[in-house]
Amino acid sequence: MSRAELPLDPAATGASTGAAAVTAALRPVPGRPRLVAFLTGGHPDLDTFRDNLLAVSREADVVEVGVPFTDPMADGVTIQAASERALAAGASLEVLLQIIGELRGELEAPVLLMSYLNPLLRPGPERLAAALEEAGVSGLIVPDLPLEASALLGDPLARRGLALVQLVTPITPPARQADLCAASSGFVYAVTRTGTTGGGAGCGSARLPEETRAFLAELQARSTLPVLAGFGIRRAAQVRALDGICAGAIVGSALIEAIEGGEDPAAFLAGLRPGGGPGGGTASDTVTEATSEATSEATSEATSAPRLDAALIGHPVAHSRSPQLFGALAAAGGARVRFDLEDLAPAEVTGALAALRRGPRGALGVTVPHKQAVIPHLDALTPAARAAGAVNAIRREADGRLTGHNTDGAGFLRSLRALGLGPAELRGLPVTILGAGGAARGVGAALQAAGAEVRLVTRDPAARQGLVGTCCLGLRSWASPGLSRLLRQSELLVQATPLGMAPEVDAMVPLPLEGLHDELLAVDLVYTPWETRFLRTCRAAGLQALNGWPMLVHQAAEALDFWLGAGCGDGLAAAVAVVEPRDPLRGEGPSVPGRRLAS
Amino acid sequence: MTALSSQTFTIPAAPEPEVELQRLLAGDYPDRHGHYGPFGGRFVPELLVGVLDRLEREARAALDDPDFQATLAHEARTWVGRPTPLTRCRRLSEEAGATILLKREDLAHTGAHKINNALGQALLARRMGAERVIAETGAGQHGVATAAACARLGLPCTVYMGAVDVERQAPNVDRMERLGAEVVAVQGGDRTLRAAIDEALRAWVSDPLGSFYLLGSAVGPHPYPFLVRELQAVIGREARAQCLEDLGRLPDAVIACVGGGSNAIGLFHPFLADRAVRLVGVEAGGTGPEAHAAPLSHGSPGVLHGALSALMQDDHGQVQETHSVSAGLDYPSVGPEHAFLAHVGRATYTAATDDEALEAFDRLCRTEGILPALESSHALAGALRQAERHPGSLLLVGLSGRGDKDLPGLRARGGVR
Repeated sequence: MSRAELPLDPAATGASTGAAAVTAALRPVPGRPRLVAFLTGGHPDLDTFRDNLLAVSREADVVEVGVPFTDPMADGVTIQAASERALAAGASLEVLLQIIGELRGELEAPVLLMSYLNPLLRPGPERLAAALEEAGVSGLIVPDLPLEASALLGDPLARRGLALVQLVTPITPPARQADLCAASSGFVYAVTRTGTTGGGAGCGSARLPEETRAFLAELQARSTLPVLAGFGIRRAAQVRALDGICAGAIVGSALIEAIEGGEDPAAFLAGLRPGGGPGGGTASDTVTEATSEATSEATSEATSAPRLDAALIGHPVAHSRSPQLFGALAAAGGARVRFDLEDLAPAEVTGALAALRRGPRGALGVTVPHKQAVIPHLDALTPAARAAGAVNAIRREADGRLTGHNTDGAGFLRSLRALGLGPAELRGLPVTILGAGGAARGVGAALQAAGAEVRLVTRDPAARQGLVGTCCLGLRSWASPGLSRLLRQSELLVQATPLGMAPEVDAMVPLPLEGLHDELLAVDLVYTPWETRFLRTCRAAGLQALNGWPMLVHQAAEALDFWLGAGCGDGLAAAVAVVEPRDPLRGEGPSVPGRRLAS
Repeated sequence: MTALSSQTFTIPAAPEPEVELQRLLAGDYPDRHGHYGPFGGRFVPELLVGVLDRLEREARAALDDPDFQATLAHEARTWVGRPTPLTRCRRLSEEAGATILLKREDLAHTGAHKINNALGQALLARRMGAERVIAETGAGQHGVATAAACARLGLPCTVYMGAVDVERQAPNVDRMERLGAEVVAVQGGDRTLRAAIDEALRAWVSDPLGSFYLLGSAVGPHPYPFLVRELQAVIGREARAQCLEDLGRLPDAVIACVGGGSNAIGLFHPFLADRAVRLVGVEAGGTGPEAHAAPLSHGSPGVLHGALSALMQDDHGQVQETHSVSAGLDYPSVGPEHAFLAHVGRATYTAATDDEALEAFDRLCRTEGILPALESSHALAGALRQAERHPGSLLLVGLSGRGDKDLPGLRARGGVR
């Protein structure tokens, strides 16, 4: 539903401006939470920004344009990165005001500027206010201008009827909340949690925590202006949950991520409206869709019958279940497979690669301890292999050259997608990965590329060189309080160390498991034993826990795509249940749908 | 269209500089909003306002508490090694034609003045019941001092350090981790000190009630510039008393290097009322006006990391990249009290280039057998210039730290001169 269709909205074209226009546009309406859309000005480039601004102004009730700044201390990684891109594209306060001024007659929602203080100081308060008015901007949000210093900008703005929006937080004392509400104009920006902008808000659901609900309700009761909730809003269910509590929501990082991901920003916003489209899908919808897709692909694959002649090299390799996995594919009629196991000492690797160049065998799987050792013998690496610093699949090209790939990251993402954690859920998801070895790096790089906020944790300081992730935390001990804090903020925890693998089944990273997010999904990349001590401990703490089997299966699918061509691995995930009847979301025992799959 | 970028935000010269200075001396600055005249303040997200209010209350209470001061003094004496000596340079003075005295903060525990502040704030963190300490570091000296103080007091500690600095200053990363701190390599922004402060502030915003942000220089939002100055003023108090005791007089000039400016403000502050004593701050002049870290010499007023001060910025108010041979001075802004002292004319600020600092470094090594930090070498370069201009004068130089940490970088630049 576009806002122009709603009879209550003040203007169909050329929205009026000023603080009063913002307040009117955000007036609470039961059943239709208001949306303020945040765009980083000039992101991803000036022309695209101009198009996005126009499109978003038709969908949002108010548009907030961020003036990029070199040191955005209240912003998370998404807006930091968007700001850097916008600055590189030539965005500045002056350029943005020019763009907004030129679009003035066409914008269908009032526009506010969000800016850190320093860029606003350059012109001086009076000249700034005049320029805002001239461009048709309705006011400012300045995250580093506290109430005590507000007069600096607030007075010149107020004289022109422009807004200076105040921010209120859950840790603001009640008396100060009242002062901020009284001083605000346009609307009241409720910061719903401590932290920076962006960040996740639950893997699957979007329940509004009781304390947040109470905070927003009290604030709306305290204020004559509309109260809008910001920080971490990314799903339709979250917006819906605000109905009747406050006027609506501010959507920032999620919208930027949608733009980064090539989505149409107006459609993304429409999806956040009650009953909306793209953002409203549930996890179970996604699973159903993925499964039926896989089945049909597997059927159609039967006619083309590609052939795979491959071997797995490692030391030892006897335990590997790869032949069974690839055999399952063959049984499903997808391909003819020959898959051998070759136990090679390190000194024999060079010879095996030379043999691969000669053929007829066209592919090798690689496992420990050879994943790094093969690299110098290859001619090319895929980006995934470079990111991981390790190779686990090698392909001979038509000209005899050897290309190395790493399936850890893609296999992991595929396994999450089968659980309903797709691109939309991964964006901004806070993830902690334990370990900094090849698997951790591969999984971390893939999650980061999908927009998750990845932190790797390692006890080995030397392992930090060249790591992915915004930050890599070096620990002296697993019992560190820093780790405890990190885990409390995480919604996906990946155990990527070898601890707990058979036969050392009693080993485990000693994690502090108190106070974790109750939506946290714990994944152990180990699958022998089926339920590691780590998984057992997580399950005992009431957490959802998944073993490494789905990743292995999806890695096999990824490897088939790499070896035989895109789409060749799609049937494998469906076929493989024959190989392993146990449920990777549960301990030993018969397979029943996991909680997440059933929901 | 109103032209905006051609405009420059300026602060007019103080109409009554003497009145302004007296306000500082009387303790009226910082005022209740943290201002030193037009500078300073508290430009932070609302999440931090209450936290900073509490920090200010607790800091003032602690500084006024004789028990806290007694604990601090005892630790300073028995663990840090205070008072640090005042060394009279014999050969360098003869060469330079002026008497040069060194206040030897390089002999303090962990090798620099940073420990004075780290110890004081860590004691405050413990007193406030903080669950953990977070800190930023550039060259690693503040990180090492914080890690040491937290180890001494049994406080968990996380240090944010730019990924570039993690590689440049690997030995200090090792020292911090040996001392029990967690070091977070920050990959965002310019991946140096500025990005480390940005990330530490973000970490603090994420856990404002449980963590204590142990800021390392006299910068940032109020009350940090005040708190850090109070904890570093021990340098100037000792030096002033030592001058009177050893020489029977005060120096003609007091000279210190200025990055964020904590050692300089600590050395200057006890001399502010001694109007005959010239105060000279030396910024990092880099390779010249095109590439430097000298906001007081080449910058303009602006807000970064919560305070209004001198800032290196472009016409649009975007913060500029810095350059200095010395990682500890590599910061685009400066403590607001320095901006104020320049504003009222009580202190003067100049810049020494990379080459001048390296030259001064060599001269001190060879004439006095002291290996100074590259930061402190900027102060020495400033002192040598003062000696030329005022032959025969008595110059007190803040030797803020030892230079062992700089040796790998110097070797990379090409051996001994």
